[in-house]
Formats: sequence, structure tokens, C-alpha cells
Amino acid sequence: MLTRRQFTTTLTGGLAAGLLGPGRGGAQGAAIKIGSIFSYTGPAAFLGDRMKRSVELFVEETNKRGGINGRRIESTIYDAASESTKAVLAAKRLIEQDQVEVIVGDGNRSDIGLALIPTVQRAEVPLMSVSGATALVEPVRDRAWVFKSTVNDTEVIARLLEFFKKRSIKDVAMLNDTGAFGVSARDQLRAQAPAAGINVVYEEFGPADTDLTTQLTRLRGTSAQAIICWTVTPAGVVFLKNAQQLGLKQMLVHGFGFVADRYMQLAGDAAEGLILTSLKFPIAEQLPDSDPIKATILDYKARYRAKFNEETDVYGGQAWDGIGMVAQAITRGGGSERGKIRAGLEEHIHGYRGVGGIFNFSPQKHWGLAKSDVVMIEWRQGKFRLVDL
Amino acid sequence: MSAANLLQFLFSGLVVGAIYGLIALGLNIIFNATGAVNFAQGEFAMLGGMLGASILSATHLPLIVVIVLTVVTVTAIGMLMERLVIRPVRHADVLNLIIVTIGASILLKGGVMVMLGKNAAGLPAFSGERPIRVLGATFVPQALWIVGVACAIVLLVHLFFSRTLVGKAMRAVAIDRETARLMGIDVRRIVMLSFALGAAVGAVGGIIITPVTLTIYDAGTMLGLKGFAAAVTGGLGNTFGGIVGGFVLGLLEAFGGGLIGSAFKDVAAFLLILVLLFVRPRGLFARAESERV
Amino acid sequence: MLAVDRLPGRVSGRALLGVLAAVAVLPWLLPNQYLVHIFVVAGVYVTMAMGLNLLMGYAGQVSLGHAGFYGLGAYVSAVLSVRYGVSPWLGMPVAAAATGALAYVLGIPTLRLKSYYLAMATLGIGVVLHLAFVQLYPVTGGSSGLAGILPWDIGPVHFTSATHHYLLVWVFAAAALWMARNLVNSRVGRVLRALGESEVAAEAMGVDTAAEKRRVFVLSAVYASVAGSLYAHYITVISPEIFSFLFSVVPVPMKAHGGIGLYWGAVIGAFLLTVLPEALRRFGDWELPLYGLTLILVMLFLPRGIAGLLVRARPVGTPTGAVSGPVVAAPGRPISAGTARLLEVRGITKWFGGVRAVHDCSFDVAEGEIKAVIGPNGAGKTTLFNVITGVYAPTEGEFRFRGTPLGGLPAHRLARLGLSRTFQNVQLFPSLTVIENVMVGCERDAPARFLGAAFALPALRRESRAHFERAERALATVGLDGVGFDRAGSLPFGQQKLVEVARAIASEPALLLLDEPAAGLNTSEKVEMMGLIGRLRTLGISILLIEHDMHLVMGVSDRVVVLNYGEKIAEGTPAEVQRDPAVITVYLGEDVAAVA
Repeated sequence: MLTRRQFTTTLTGGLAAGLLGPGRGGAQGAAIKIGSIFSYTGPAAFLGDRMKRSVELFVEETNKRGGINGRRIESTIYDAASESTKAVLAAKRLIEQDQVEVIVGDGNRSDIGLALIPTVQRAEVPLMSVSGATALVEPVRDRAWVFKSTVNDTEVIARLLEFFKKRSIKDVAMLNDTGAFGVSARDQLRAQAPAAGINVVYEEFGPADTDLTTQLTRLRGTSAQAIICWTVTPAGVVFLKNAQQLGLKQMLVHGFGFVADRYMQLAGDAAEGLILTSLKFPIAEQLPDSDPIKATILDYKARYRAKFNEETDVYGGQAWDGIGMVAQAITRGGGSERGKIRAGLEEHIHGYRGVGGIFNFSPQKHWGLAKSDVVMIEWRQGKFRLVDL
Repeated sequence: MSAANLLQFLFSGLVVGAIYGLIALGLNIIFNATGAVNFAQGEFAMLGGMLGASILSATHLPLIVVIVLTVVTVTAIGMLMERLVIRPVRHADVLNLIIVTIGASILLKGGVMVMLGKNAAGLPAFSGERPIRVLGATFVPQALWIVGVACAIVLLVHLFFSRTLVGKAMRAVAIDRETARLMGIDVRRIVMLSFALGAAVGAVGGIIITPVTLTIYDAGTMLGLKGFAAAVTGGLGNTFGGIVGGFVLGLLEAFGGGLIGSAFKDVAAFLLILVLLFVRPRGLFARAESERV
Repeated sequence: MLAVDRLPGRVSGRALLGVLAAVAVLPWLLPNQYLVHIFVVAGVYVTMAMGLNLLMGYAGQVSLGHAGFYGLGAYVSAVLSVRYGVSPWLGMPVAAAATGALAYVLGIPTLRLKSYYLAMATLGIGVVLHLAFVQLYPVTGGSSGLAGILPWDIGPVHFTSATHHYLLVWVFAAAALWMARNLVNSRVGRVLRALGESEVAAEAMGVDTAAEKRRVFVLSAVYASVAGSLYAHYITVISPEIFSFLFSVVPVPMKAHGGIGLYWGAVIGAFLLTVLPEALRRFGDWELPLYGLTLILVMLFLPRGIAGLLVRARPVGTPTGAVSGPVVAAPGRPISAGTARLLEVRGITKWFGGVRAVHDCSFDVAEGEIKAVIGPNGAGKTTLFNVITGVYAPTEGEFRFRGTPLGGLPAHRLARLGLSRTFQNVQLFPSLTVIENVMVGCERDAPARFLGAAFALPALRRESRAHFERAERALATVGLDGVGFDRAGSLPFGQQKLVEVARAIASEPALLLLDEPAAGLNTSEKVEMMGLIGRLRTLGISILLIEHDMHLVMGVSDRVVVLNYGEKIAEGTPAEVQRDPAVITVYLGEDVAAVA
């Protein structure tokens, strides 16, 4: 048994070592230092896990092939633990202690990403966001150093409204969680629905809620023909089960933060016929061979499966695209310093075939995807299927 | 607001309330024997759900076997926690005990995350998922299990405390530890037993709600918090008070959310608890007590 | 500073200055700005922890909701800055005022609660504030929070680097520390510590415990608010998670790891809990379980916290030797003729639920009289005392002190009017020293000024010295010498009773109520007690006492009142009462009464 003094000394020593020691990474040298911040613990963890592994996979494979321009990548990944404060601290550690040139990953949650922006803007370090809120990359003049490897919810909502019009649906209900992702989508819907001639009733729930029957009961009495749920948390599964319990007949729709086989399986037959907005990733096998990104997606999936013995998902793909584009920016732009990477992203990413879609960056546009990259899918008989292209 | 809707709110409130009441029950058992609030109680429930799901998917044994295995394992974890974490600080003051149980809750949460994963998990409903309609409102069969098992456990615990010798010994320890020891009661065994019981009750609670709410490694935090609120509402240490407090909290949430607006669901519940505490500082079932000076 | 104000674990002013000087130069010694950043955050947490420490460590009130006040301070100042362009130098005091006001209002009902109920109520406050800020989306930005908060500045110079903020934050933290230190080492600190140990006794000594608790609560809320504002303007982006329950709970270990009740320990605790998660980063997923494990291990190995490791358990204090010449008891008040009615009790009745403890009890105590109340166990004697001293309100009846009606007044007001008491179960403040215990007895005269204590005004130090001298005299009067600096809880029982008496007479009450002064004493101690009671009368203190020891009662009292089942059954001189058949029946049975 340790004496008190021994314990205290060990504790102090351990803390100092942990604080001052090198981050995960290893050898020095002429390596290109890339940092990452993902939330792989906490409520956003189910997204962050695959993102982290995708980055690790990319780095490993690239280094095996000789690195970028002959230089190996040194990757440092920190956990934001689904908290903005931790993310900011992680960013500072990456920037000042680990001296990275670029950060891929923003804690994979919109509010965390937003919290990082002042830090990266002030330090002039490029940040590749993987979260959905439009405010992350707009207005560009205040977001000069921020890019995004997924689609903006502006485009997703626009696509959704288009879908409703095609199906002659004029009254819908929006049930979003109170997190930044849900609230951002709700604001987009508020902004765009009137012009599309669609009436919306709004309800909300907390991200950790385990019972939505109250909200659904209130919606039951309205004239809504479709109910949209917008969240990334398991509460979205409870939504489906409660809807089934209450015998709701409306069309059920989920946002692009919920596209996961696991969630569908947890919901069981309550998920049958669910419509979701998504990138093309989950239905890659059903795409025609002429589709420009089908091969890219299948390739990534195969590699991930081989390495980790499990299936990846569209979110892992966002991180894969993120670091992939950074690598291309360095390769073609010729420089690995912070400013050069930023310029490289703006100038050398045109028609980039990512697993999320075709990316186009420019000095005025730091989000790469467009409405055409968004598809409507449904869950039927154990698989995601394309509904509307 | 139709009658069917009001009835629906009532059902939701009762089911959710039963869950809180079970957490409160486990809290009260441990509080009675040790005088400490176990901030890891929610984690016992989470363990019930997560372990149950993991054992089921790994072994595909019949559900009843899985349930028994899970409860036994979580009970063992509770006893381990008492032996390694609580017993060494039993003489320290209340604040130390609080911190130690908080540390334990973080440890359990983190441990489950690392070893069982970060994904949400579910359990199959015990008797199917066909909703049952009553007067325009619906509930799933699992809801009956939840409320039924919760009430059964409360009854069993009550009988245990009032009819068995061990139960009475536990109450004695709660009232006056030193005297109980002098009367020959092995206080250490009693404390260990209380943790075992508290863990078991928590685990059962977690298992019966997982088919409806799903579970995930950090589900314990909110559960523990609401369970604590329920226990305090009914009067800390009062076993019946805990379940009543749970129902009060659940109904407040359901009706508050249903009638005022979902935004105010959580706020309404806590606000009303605050008001309650201000009006009846010792909880709903406090007797007028006076300190002897 | 008075030797008496030297508490265990007291750090000399010079040592503290040394530490602060080291802290001041630290940023230039650290290898990079990230580490400086950590120390900035630590400084913010230290400020908050200081306030919590005062509340929990000294006043003994558990609050689990202080994150709410922290968040409120952050948000009010942030909203003012983002929406109205208000400078942080104005935003912070506005936020602090708002938070203080809210804490004051909430404190009134909340602080009436005890232990876990208090914890729950504060937790509830924290949760409600959190939810409110998520819901007030248009003002607070909801879940996404607020960005673009103005950073700190001095005039036109905006702070840009972590080092600038570091210096600012640590100036505040140092000020917070200084104020806390002053409070703790002052009269106010003594009162707070007493309050944390026995509220009842503190009330009986004239301390308005409700008001003191409220003041400390408000102060700790203001500390938290200032910390929140400092943080908001440093990090320029905030979101509701800073209110979250977990964050509330984290400051609890924070101040505890430092060592409960040792204010500078909170500094260590705050550091520990800022640095710990950062140091554990390298372990990835394992960070969370390791964090929990570390908390547990620290509590197991260092139950008195890290500060507790450095502090000796026994107080180190030397008698001042400052009193010149032998200490004599104060001459006291002149005794007026024994007919003036000091205390009039009329028809006092007290019910507890279905139990009638006292029924229609009436008697007087004259100026300069020693009166005893006797009766079998359960006769209602202590209940009667508790009613007279304001611990309970009477169900019926009234009583007057010097002609002023007193029913329903709180205990501390009665104490201030000139009533003092000891308790049947000794209610000392065990971890205070003997002399400190007695000094609390002087609180009857006037409440200590809170702000004055925080700023270490000389007037308060003079008051402390005056209390010290009076306490020394009181101890001499009861015959206790040389134990002044021992912890009161470490004394043998007989001496503890004497300390209680000393405490009760330190501020020269007009009427002293002694509740079973001889209980638990051996024969020689009882003889001393009798002598002491007689001496007290010569000091001008009238006495009402409860006793079972007949020898003492008969030897010391002028008149005796006999209670049985809550009712007065006899009154008279000791001789009269001894012969009264009703009294004999009650004590010895009817047969003996028949014989007598």
C-alpha cells in the first residue's frame, strides 16, 4: 500500500508527464503534422469513432505508400469528449504544443465546431469541419480558414422541400432536438418553407430524451402529413418506436445525421418505410456503375472493412474525404505550411471525387457539396434503398 | 386537449415515473444503511441494460437466463464497489462520500464505454410490441412490465424491511449505527448487503426499461439525477416516498410537456420540485421532526 | 494578527506572497502558450472554488448548483457584450450584481433546508438555469451558444494573448484569495465555522444564522459569477454546457481535493481538476475511467485533501501571554434589589404533534435570583428552556423579559436581548479552539460586519482583540486555565461543560439558563460547579437552571419550580418543595408521601 506522500508524488509526476509529454504520434523529422479533433466519447461519440478510425486508416495507408510528396504524415488525434471547452483546449494544444499545420475534424458536432472558429481564425490554421450547420462556413469572409467536408443543412433542407413538393405534401411537422444541429435545421426550414409553399408545425425535444410520446401526441391532432425528426442521438430511435406505439399514420422522415444501420436495427420494424435525407454513401451498391463516386465509395468501404473488421458509415466517410482533400491540397499546392494548405484547398479541389460527393472549393465557397449530392433514401427490409434521385 | 391525449400523458407519466421510482428505491436502500447518497445509482441501471444487451448478443441465451446473469453480475459489481471504494471512506464526512461515489460513477461509465462500446443498445421487449389501446390512448406491453415490476419490487423491499430480521437490522443500522453494533448487528455485512440490494434493484430497473428507452454508456447520469430528485421529493430514506416521488416527477414531466410545451418538460419538473422543497423542506412525507438539543 | 486567529493550516502572509510572485512570473517560464492557457482556466476555477470553499468548507452548506451562478455570470456579461457592445469591465459587475440578487432571493427559502435537501435544491436551481438558457434561444443562442464575445481590454488595448489574460485572471484570483483569507481569519470566519458545527449553539449565542448563511451564499455566488465572466471574455465563445450538472459537481471535488475547510487548498484542488483531464488526454478512450479512478484514489489516500497532507492535525498555537497581570473576573453589574421581575413566564404550552410537552406553565425569575426547575425525566424542562430561548415557538402563552413580550422571536434576537444558555447535550463547536468557542459568545453584542472582515479593516481586528480579552476573563471565571488553544472537542467532558458556561457568560448576559449543569460530572466537579453558580450571581447574572442532582439544587437555589408531565405542580423555597407531598409522590411514590 502506498503512503500518502508516495501517492501524491506519483500523482504530481504523472500529471506533469501527461501534460508536457508528446501527444500521440511519435518520431520527429520532416513529417507533415496533421491534427484532428473528434468526439469519440460523450453523446456525439457514435459518430466520432468511425471518423477517428478513418483518419487513422488514411494516414497509415498514405505513409505506407511513401507519404505525401515523400514526407510521412504525423497524425495527432484528440478527443473533444462532446464538449466545446475540451475541443478548444485540444485545438490550442495541437496548434501551440504539437505545432500542426492543419486540423481535420471539429469535434463532429456543430456547436463544438463553432466554438473552435475563433481559435483557428486567430491562429490562422486551416480547419476542416465535419459537421452540418451552415454557420460553420458562412459568411466566408469571417470563415477564411474553415472548410467543410460534408454538406450544409441549407442544401439538405432544400432537397427535402423539393421531395415534399414532388409528393404533393403541403403540411409537415418538424421535431428537432435542441442541440445545435437540430436547431440549425429548424432555422433553415423556417427560412425556406414559406417560399416552397409548405406549412410547418414545430416541436422539439432534448437530445437525451427517452420518451417522445408527449410531443407526438400533440402532433397527432394536427394536419401534418409527414413528421420530420432531426437528431443524431438515440432519441431518434425512440421517436420511431413511440410513433409506432401511437399508431401514427403520417410519413416519417429523418435527417442526414441519422443514417446508420445500427439505429434502424434498434428500431426494429418501427423503422420500416422510414424516409431519410442522405448523401449517396449508404446506397452506393444501388447506384448505376456510371455514377462518378460509386467506385470511390466501395473502395473506401472495402479498405475500412479489411482493416477494422466492421462496417464504416457515411460519417466516417466525411473524415476520410476531409483528410483526403487536405492531402491533395498539399500534393498539388506544393506546400505544407498552414497558409499554403489553405490556398491549396481553395485552388486545387475541383471535381474532387469524395465518398460524400463531388467537391468543389473556391475562395468564395468553402463548402464543397451541393444539393445534387443529397438523395432521399428509405429503409426497407433491412437495407437502405434509393427513393428519389 | 382531448381526453384521449390526457390519458396518453397519464400513461407516459406513469411509465417514466416507475423508472424514476426504482432508481429512487435503490438510492434509499443505500442511504438508509450508510447515510450517503450513491451518485452511481444511475450507473447500476445503465449496467443492467448494457450488460444485458451485451450478454444477449454474445451468447444468445434465453432472455430470462440473460436477465438473471446480468442482475447477479451487477450485484457483484455493487458489492465490489462497497468493499473497495465506500468502506475505506466510511468514517469520512459526507462530502468525501459524495465525491467517492461520483468518482465511481465516472469510472463505471468510462469502463462500460471502453469495454462495451459507445453505441446505443436495446433489449427485446418481454412480451412483444403490439400496442394496447385503451380509450383512445396506447401503450406497449413493456409498459405494463415496467410499472408492474417496479411496484412488485417496492412491495418486496417493504416486506423485507418490515417482516424479516435482516431487514429490521438494516433499519436499525439506519437509525443508530453505534447502538446497532452494540446489539450485535454486524454493521459491515449490513452495509455490504445494502449495496448489493441497491445494485440489484438498479439493475432490474435498467433491464426492464431498455426495451423501451434503449441504453447507452452515459444513460446513467440523467437517470441518477432524476432518481435523486424523486427520492428527495418523497423524503430521503423513505422507501414508499421514493416511488411516489418518482410518479410525481414522471407525471409532472408528461403533463408539463404535454400541456405547456415540450420545451418546458424538464424545466417544469425541476421548478415544481424546487417549490415543493421550499414549502415542505423535508419532502412530501416528512413527519414534523424536532432535533433534541 | 492575534494568535487566536491562527487557525490550523494557516499560511503566513509572506508565504502566500511568495507563491503569488511565482504565479506571476510563470507564463514566461512555460514552454508554450497552451500551458499558459491551462493556467488561465485554472485561475478561473480557483476564483470559483474560493467562493464554494467558504460556503461548504466553513459554513458547511453543500451546494451542487454553483455552475448555475457561474453560467449566469458568463452569459449575462456575454449577452451584454455581443448584443449591446458593452465592455467586459461593465458587464462583469452587472452580471455579478444580477447573480448576487438572484442568490439572495433564492437563498431565503433554500438555506432553510438541510444537507441533502439543500443539495437537491441547489442542484435544481442549476438545472433550471441551464434549461432556461437553452430555451431562451433568441437571447442566448440556445444550444449553439454565443460567439464573438468581446475579449478583455484595458482602454484601447485588446488582450490577444493567453499571457495577458493569464495576468488579469490571476489578479482576480489573488484578490479573491486575499478576501477569502481575511474572512476566514476574522470574526466572520469564526462565526461561519461555528455555524457549520452547531447552528443551534450559534443562534443561542446571538448569531443570526439565517442571515450569515445567506451572506456567504451570496458571496460565493458572486465569486462564481466573476469567474464565469472572466472565462466568457477570455474564451469568447460559450455554450450552455458550462451549466451542466456535471460541471456543477466538478467544483465540489475541486475544493475538496484541496482539503475541506482550508481555503488555500481550493487552489490546489482547482489546479488538479483543470490539469487532470488534459494530462490524461494521451490515453484516448481510457481518459474517462482513469479520471474516475483518480478521483477515487485521491479520496482514499488523501481524505483530508492534498492540503490536509501538509497540515498538522493539531493546532499550533501559543498562548499570547499578552494579558498583563493575573486575570480576574470582571466586576460585573451591580445587583439590584431582588424584587424586579426579570423574566415572566405566563401560561406556556407546547405541543409536538400529538404530544403535549409543556402545559400552562407560569412562574417568574427575579433580578439576582437563582431559580431551579426540577422534575422527573420527560417532565418538559428542556422543552420549556427551548421555548424561552426561542428554539421553539410556544403553542400558547407568552413570556416577557424585562417587561418586553418575547414570544415568537428567533433565538438570536433573544440572545441579543440578554438571554444566554448552555445545553443539555453539550453543543460546543468541537473543531474550534476553546478560546474561539468562548469568543463566539461575544457575538451577542453586535453582528460582525461582513465586508469589513473581507477587507481586513482595523476596526474588526480591534473587536477581535476585545473579544479575546473578554473570553480570557470568562475562562478565568469558570476556572479553566491553559487550555485556551486546545481543540474544544478534545477536552474531557467536565471541562467541556465549563467551556460552555464560559461561552454563555462571555458577554455578560442578564439571565443565564443552565440545562443540567451537573450532568455527567463527578462529585468534586459538582462542588466546583455549585461554587461557580454562586460566583455568577455575584457578577450580576441571574440564573434559571434545570437539574436532577438534588444536593446541588437545594444547595444553590433561592426558589424551586417542580414540573411533572409538563405541568407545574409546586413552587417554593427548596425546603418547602422538599416537604411538599405532591412532589414526594412524583419522585418517590405515594406510600412514601403518606409516611412523610
